[in-house]
Amino acid sequence: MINKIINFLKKKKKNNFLNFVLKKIIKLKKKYLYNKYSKINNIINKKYNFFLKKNYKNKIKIKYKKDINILFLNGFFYKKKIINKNKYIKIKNEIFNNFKKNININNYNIFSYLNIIYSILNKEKSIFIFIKKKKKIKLNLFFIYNNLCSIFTNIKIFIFLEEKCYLEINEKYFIKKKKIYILNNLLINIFLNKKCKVIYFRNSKKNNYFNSINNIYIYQKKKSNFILYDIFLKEKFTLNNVYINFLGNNSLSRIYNIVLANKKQIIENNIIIYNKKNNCNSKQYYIGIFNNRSYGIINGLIKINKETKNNISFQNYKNFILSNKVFFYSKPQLNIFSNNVKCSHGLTIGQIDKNIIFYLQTRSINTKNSKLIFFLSILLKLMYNKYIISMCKIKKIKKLNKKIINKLKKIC
Amino acid sequence: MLIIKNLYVKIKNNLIIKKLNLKINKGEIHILMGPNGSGKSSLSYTITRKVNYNIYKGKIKFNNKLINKLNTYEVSKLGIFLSFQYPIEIYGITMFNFLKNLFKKNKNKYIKYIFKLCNKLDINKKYLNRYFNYGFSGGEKKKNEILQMLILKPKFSILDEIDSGLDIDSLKIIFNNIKYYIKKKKDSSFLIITHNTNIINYIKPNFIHILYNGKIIKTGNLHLLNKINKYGYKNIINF
Repeated sequence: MINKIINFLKKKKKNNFLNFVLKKIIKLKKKYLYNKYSKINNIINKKYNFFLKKNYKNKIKIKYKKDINILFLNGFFYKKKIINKNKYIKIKNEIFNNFKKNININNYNIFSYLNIIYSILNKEKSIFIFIKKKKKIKLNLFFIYNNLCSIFTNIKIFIFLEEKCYLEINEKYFIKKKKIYILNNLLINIFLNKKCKVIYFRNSKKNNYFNSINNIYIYQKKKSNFILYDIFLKEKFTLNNVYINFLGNNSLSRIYNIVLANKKQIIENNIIIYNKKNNCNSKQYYIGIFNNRSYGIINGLIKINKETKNNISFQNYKNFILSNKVFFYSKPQLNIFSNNVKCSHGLTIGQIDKNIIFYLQTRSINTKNSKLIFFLSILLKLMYNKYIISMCKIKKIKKLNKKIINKLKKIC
Repeated sequence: MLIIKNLYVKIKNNLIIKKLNLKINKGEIHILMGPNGSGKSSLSYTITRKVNYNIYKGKIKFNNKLINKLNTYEVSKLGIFLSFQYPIEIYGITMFNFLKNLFKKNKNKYIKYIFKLCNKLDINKKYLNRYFNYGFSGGEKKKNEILQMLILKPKFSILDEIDSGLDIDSLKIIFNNIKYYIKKKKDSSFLIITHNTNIINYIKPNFIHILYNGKIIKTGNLHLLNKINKYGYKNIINF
């Protein structure tokens, strides 16, 4: 598929920007398999419709929630609805070229470049959201699919926050037609100014034919906080790329991932953190439970620049494998070029502690429930995390946790 | 109640219990002693059907039901309880939530009942909000084991070194509660695994067995304890 796009671009009339992107794609083509174990090739080489017509109409009733609601129908921007209208939010639906000066695309990965090229060739507009100073805002993203043929969609969202803003982002998926392949290539860029706080929930309700590539780029300035709470429960295939750039001192980020995979689910995660300034703090917690023939990859990289000081970075990956047919690969990495830092990485891959299960069974708790208790005891650390609780309502967390427990019951 | 006949147990081709016979009737208290590594805990694990403890030969019957091929959960449902020598810790689940789930009947009255038992066992109620056994001392963990026993109300309990790591006051409390349980449920029987010969000060057993090398080599009454005190295991085994 990538070869086709390169050939198509070569035939086209070139301008400077297209030339630059083309060069980048050719350069990254070899690299795009992040490691030899990735299964992205199988997904990307299926037949998808690139240029779908916009004739579809949404018939799904959606409960709009507080502040900003943005709907995407079959990969296109469909509707925006702002409740509590105020002047502090600006949403623009414009061509990417108008804003390319504001965005640094030098360090994008190949899927992000593909996303941009797609929008330029298709003359499709992107979403730009501007939030002004000291505002508390919730952003709800709805992705609706009622297509009749398999499609490859490319969505771009750019969010610019001014000083001391608070933003909560929620993603929701509605897929009407089953048994139709969808590949969604999502590109999200968030620019956090001084003292901004962003919490991003990604609890997707997807069906077995939904594949997604998520590219999230975060740019943090002084004293800004970013929290990502990712739960992977139902997706068939996901390639999740998260890039965090610390551009200001004293910035903080937390990444929490819960992966519960069974059957033939494929879940790949790449998390890269660039420490470019001093006193930055980042922590990653990843818990994966894999059963049946599921497939999991987690790669983490922490980069620390030469002239930085007092940076704290921490990776913690815990994984449990419940069947012989599970494949799991992990590679936590640290690239440290500075002396005054505190970095560590920990990775465990193992099975259930049989002694705990035996202990619980002697208390007349059956095998399934004792496994559930064992996993819950591990997951609770993330499920009721201090940072997340402090930044949103407990009702919401309880809802999310119900979903996790329901999935756990299926896996155990 | 519990009948063990000609029992041979293997773990990965190693025979750990050889030709063991034991009969425990209703309402009896048996004490199992023996040098370290003689197979006392292994016997308790085989009765509760831990995985990898394979019965190579012989039979274990509980209330006339063969339990050779049952799993741990099924055995515990029959009414067999095992208190552990080293109880596990579970981070993330509070004591109260754990104990709440052990109730099978009268789920509405559990709060009062748990508080009542905590008073009896001298367990601080604040501990109920802490994670299960997490950061507890050895004695507190053992008290927690007895607390679970009193909630589950088993017909037959195996107490594996329940007296180790306890101070005198806690010992008294634990055995008083065991006595209280025996008074309340006269059918219940006990197999107490211990190294402490002073145990007669707290509880009066019906039989005392000495296990050595996977075999019961001697069975007796209180006089046997005096002999162990005087001569030690080695002399009794050689005699």
